[in-house]
Amino acid sequence: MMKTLCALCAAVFSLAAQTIPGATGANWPSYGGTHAAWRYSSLDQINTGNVAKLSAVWAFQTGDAEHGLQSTPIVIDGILYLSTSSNWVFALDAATGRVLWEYRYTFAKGSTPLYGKQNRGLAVGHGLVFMGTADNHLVALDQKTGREFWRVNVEDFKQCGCNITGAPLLVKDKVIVGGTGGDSAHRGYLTAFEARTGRFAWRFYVIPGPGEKGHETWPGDTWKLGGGAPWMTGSYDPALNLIYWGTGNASSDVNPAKRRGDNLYTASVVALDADTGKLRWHYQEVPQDAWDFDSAYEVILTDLEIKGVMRKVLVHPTKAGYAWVIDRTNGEFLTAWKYVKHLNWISGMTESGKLVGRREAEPGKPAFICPSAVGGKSWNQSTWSPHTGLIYVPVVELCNDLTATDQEPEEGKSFIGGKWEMKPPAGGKAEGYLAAFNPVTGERKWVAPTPSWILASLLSTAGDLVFTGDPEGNFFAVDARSGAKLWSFPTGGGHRGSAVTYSVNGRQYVATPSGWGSLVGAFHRTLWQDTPAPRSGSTLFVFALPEAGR
Amino acid sequence: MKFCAVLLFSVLAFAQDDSIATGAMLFRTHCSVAYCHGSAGTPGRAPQLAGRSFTREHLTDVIANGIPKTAMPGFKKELNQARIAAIASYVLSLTGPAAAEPIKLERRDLPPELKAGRALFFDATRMGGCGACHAADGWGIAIGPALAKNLPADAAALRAYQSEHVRRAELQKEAPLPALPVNVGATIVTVYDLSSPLPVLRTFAASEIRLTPNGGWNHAGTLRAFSDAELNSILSFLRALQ
Ligand code: HEC
Repeated sequence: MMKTLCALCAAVFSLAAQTIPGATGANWPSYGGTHAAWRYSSLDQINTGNVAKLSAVWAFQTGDAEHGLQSTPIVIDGILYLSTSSNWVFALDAATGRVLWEYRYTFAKGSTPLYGKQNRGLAVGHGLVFMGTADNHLVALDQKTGREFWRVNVEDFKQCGCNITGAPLLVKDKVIVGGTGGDSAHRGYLTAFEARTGRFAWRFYVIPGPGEKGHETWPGDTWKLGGGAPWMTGSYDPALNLIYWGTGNASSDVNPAKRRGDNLYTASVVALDADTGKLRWHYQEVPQDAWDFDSAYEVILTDLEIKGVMRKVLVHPTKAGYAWVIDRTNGEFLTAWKYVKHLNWISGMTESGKLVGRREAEPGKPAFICPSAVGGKSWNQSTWSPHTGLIYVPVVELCNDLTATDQEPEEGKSFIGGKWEMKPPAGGKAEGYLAAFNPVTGERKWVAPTPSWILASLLSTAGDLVFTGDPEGNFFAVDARSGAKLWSFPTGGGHRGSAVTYSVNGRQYVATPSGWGSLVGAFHRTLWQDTPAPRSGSTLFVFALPEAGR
Repeated sequence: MKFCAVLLFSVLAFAQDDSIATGAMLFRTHCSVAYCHGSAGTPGRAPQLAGRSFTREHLTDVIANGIPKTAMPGFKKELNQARIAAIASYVLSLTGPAAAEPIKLERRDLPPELKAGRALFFDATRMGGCGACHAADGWGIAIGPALAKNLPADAAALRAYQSEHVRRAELQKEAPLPALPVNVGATIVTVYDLSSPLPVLRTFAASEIRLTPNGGWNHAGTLRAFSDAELNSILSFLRALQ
């Protein structure tokens, strides 16, 4: 009894002590829930005690089965905004699913985009809905009518070999967007536009140009097409006025022979002044990447007690199989913990974060490397619950044979410099599971196995639940303190999107995309050949407790 | 006799279809994975396969042995001959005219001096260069005109060029902006706002916008990042496309 009480005290304390508002309430206002990217909701009407009664209340078929439904819905004041892979946008009544307006982006004839048509979400604010498109435009729609307000072509997608799949980040009066292209001969960047007019505000090139600090980490002309694409969505701390963004791998992905040096600021987390885009500090997690280890994933902003002192930190789980914990005021390395079991690209890390025992593929000779180029997790996001004090990660245990080959870059064309062949870990099997970690020590509290793997984002709530979906089509909830499965619903389509929760008129809803897709998702058949392929589709399922049961 | 022939034909057709179906499955698991060829032969990170004419021999060779110095691996260690043949059948089945848009000629072979002009035209290290507003040779964004006819004689003539179509847009809720009209309809007006180095396509209700002459926009401003020698090199490249 004493013990549970104390545990509770600590949890409540840690929530109260947060200097950053990270939890969502009735609304789900942005991609990561809030700009702190917790994917955690303070709603607890649905909780461990009643989740077994959770029922479907409405579903919405988008009709766009291209690459499945990988989106994160945004919910503001009872209206749910949903984007699909072909860049259609729907505004729906969040309590009933009734369509308020819809918008279909039209692609120019013959423009078959690179990296496929995929879309992971929107930003909403200033009376506008913002979306990046598969042919590399940023569009702004009227939030009330869906009428197009402005659009900008960020760069010709044929030239850059890049496009936009991630959700834009709206910070004050600017909308900021990154792009894909980390596997192309391309120089990655973030661009900020004035939200109301679409006018260019600033650009941050991940790779510094001549005369800029960090440029010396690139020999010759390699900086021009060296990768670093920041293709997912960043975070923002209003108190520090800093934007945090994870950057992509250096190119060519698996062959660094021609770019010896640290290759700044690829595979890093960068902190930028929100008004000017100027670099304040950086922390590079994987210098001179040779494994396709993007750091482009979610940047979770929170405050943690480390060695007896409360620190403003960011937690950054990347493809490389570690979660880095960095002081977000100045970029100081605090700690890093391994979240996968199988990891051999380095033999370890020193107290100060220096990588030890690097293993890279020699030209022509396959090297067996864990985790694989898919990453110890894919882009689908983790969740941080200050209520339980745990971070939940969708872990992938998978390795690959990397073979480096000599390749000349051709602007906008594929620039991988070798190949990867997915392999199960030595003596084990390819698997995926949910795991709960102490965010400071990395101690693993529990593991919830799954039939294959988890490529959908996780959602945690104050009801002590963690929600996600599997490729087999089930959307389910586990107990956030034990990992025990408490509820499951077969949606029929594989899960590759991000569930959210919100409330309308006092009733809590949980909404999940359903419908398999994505490039990494295509590996499923290779890894689990004896089971049926995950089903595509594009449906939003919405659940709530029965009215009587409330 | 006739019956037999029909039967034989349909069995063969079935065998062929079956190989295509197997090939389609193998294609999805081996070729259309992780940034390589797109599903159904559309371009992914690697080239488009649909709608192109390949011979079976060439396809079989490339699938088995790969293409040296590129990301295209050989599959002969992982896949037996029958499976490679099935993938080839599938790719060949995509070559019908309806499969996809024909491949456009891009990045034609240019002599080195014209290559330099092309590189300047599309120089990604100078944001807002020619390619941000003009399309040429398969790349670029077609906001301004296709630069084929009436090319200025030299850098000086290009710098002296006066735009004819840019208007001043007077707006109800915003300050005026230099606007290149795209579509002036009775209810909706779309224009490019040229005040941004990446022009913005704006959509207005016709009642919100008034277009008046003299946009106050000067094309010469877009050329500031380029020297005369560079502009002449760009013009030689554009002339070669004519
Ligand atoms: C910000 C957009 C923008 C940029 C950048 C730009 N242009 Fe233009 N350009 C235009 C527009 C718009 C027009 C047509 C104006 C009109 O019709 O009034 C034009 C017209 C021209 C013309 C005249 C074509 C004709 O048919 O009369 C030439 C030549 C030209 N541009 C060359 C260039 C070159 C070379 C560069 C790069 C060094 C360049 N432009 C950069 C927007 C741009």
